[in-house]
Amino acid sequence: MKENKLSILTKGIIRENPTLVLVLGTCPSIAKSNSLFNALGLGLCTAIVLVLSNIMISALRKVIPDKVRIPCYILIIASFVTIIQMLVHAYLPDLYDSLGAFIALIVVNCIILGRAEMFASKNPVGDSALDGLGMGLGFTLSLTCMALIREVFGAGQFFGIDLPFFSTYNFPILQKTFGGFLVFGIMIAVVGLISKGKAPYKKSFGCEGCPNASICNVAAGQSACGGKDEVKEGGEAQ
Amino acid sequence: MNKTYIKSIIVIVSICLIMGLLLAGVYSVTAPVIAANEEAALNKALKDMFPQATTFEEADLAGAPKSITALYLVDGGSYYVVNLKMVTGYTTGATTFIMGVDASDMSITDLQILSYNESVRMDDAFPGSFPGLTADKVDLVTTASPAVFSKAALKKTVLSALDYLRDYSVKGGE
Amino acid sequence: MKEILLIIFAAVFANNYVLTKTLGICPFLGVSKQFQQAAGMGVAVTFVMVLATAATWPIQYYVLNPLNIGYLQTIVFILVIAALVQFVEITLKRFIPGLHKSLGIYLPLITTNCAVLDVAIANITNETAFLPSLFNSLGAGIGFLLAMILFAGVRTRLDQNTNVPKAFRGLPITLAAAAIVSLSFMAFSLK
Repeated sequence: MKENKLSILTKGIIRENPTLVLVLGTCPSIAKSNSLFNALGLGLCTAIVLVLSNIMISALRKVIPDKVRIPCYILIIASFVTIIQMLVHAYLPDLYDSLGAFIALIVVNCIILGRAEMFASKNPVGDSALDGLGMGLGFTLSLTCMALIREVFGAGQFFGIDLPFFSTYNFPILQKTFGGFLVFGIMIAVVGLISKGKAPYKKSFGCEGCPNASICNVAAGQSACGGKDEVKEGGEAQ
Repeated sequence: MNKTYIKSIIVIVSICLIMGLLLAGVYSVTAPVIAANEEAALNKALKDMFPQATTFEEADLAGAPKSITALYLVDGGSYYVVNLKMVTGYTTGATTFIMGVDASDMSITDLQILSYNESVRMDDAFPGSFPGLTADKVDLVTTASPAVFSKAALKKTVLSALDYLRDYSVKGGE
Repeated sequence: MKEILLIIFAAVFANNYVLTKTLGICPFLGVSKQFQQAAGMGVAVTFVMVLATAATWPIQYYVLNPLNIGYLQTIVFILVIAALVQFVEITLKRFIPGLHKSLGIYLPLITTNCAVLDVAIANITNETAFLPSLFNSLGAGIGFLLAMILFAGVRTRLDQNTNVPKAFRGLPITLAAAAIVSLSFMAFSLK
């Protein structure tokens, strides 16, 4: 399959946006989209880890035996996460305090393992780097959009600076977990509406539609999510 | 069959080695920076608490309760500052605060919370109810809602630190 | 005793992993379609959380810290949890096939569950002692189970509803419902 380089980069940003279309990495998206500072910081950290681990895994794709590839991927990803964690702790202490455990939790962000398994393990280094960059920027973009809504309407601020009208009239609840779930849901609905149902995993959520399903299945030898009798399109079909 | 096993092991071990070296390298660069940052933050907090003070001398912590992480003698011992750490278990992170104590009458001069991660926020006025009190009066500080248990734990930490400082000042006076 | 109850209460309600800290959302949304599955997943997560803490706490304090390599925490923990999950699965399959049948299929999912890793890390960063850490993990697991069960109940009703606007069908309305369920835990943590 020949894809041109530009589309590898852009598909992660829009068409296959990891957060809003593939619905991966939900936990950090909901938890750390409460302010633009957090969102940009976490998004860029994740993007850096994604690019580095994609490059490394792609470079080693002929060396790593198929049977132990998942532990190898986890090892590589966890190492890069730790490196980023130490660098952020040293040079951006404010960001480190504000993100807390979420930097370490980049390890279990399914976007990274998913891209390693789906793309980097099959494609050359250059393409993998572009794919990682695209996906990372897509993640950052969607996180930043959510944070923009939540910070402007929830706290009346923009990057911590008070806005004239919104700082008096705002909905602090958008800053809470409630706002995270709600804004995320609305964003997915809007993206689904714009793409008119062309987005691949819009309706179903559950491991059947999850692009990472193969990883879980490899470990288990069987599907972990849902019975076979389950309908794919959760809400609609019943 | 055996060959693939050996290959797997070699690959994993070599990845571990490469990554381990990389990590050690980054760690050796960042660790001093992190330590310096933390020290700078603490020094700033100390300076904020005692703006006129000229020297902060770190003292030996023999026999101190676990909650005291550092003890400073301000201007050669006219005031003490203790760096305290409180661990309750029902938190999302340890609570750290610094407390200034007047060495002449063992009363608290100031109490500043540095990081607070208890699951319920306490009212902002609470740390302000300590300054001016001596150990026997600390007991009277009310720990009414919100954050009843966290406040009680904080009070206990303060009391144990005052206890230690009293012993310390007696020993130091000899 | 009071301490233990406090720790468990705080972990279940005030610091609820799913609805307050928003960790472990993937299984929360993915496996909550049916009550039984939700409960199974919740029990499996509780089980792994306690085991993971029991394994990682001693590793941190007796291996990593003495060797001065505390910074390897993330790597070691995720590998230990992954190995642990595999080990538990094999053991269950061999010795308690009944339990394996009901819990086993959820176990592999848990390796990449951020709630489990976060519990293990949080117990270290909070500097809690070993026993309180175990109770904290137990409470976190119970909190997860509670959220799963609550949400499974909401979802069975939600999935029968045909009045949902087209764009919101499926995941978006589920997230909106999760938002409302999360309100019920807000009162416990006045942050």
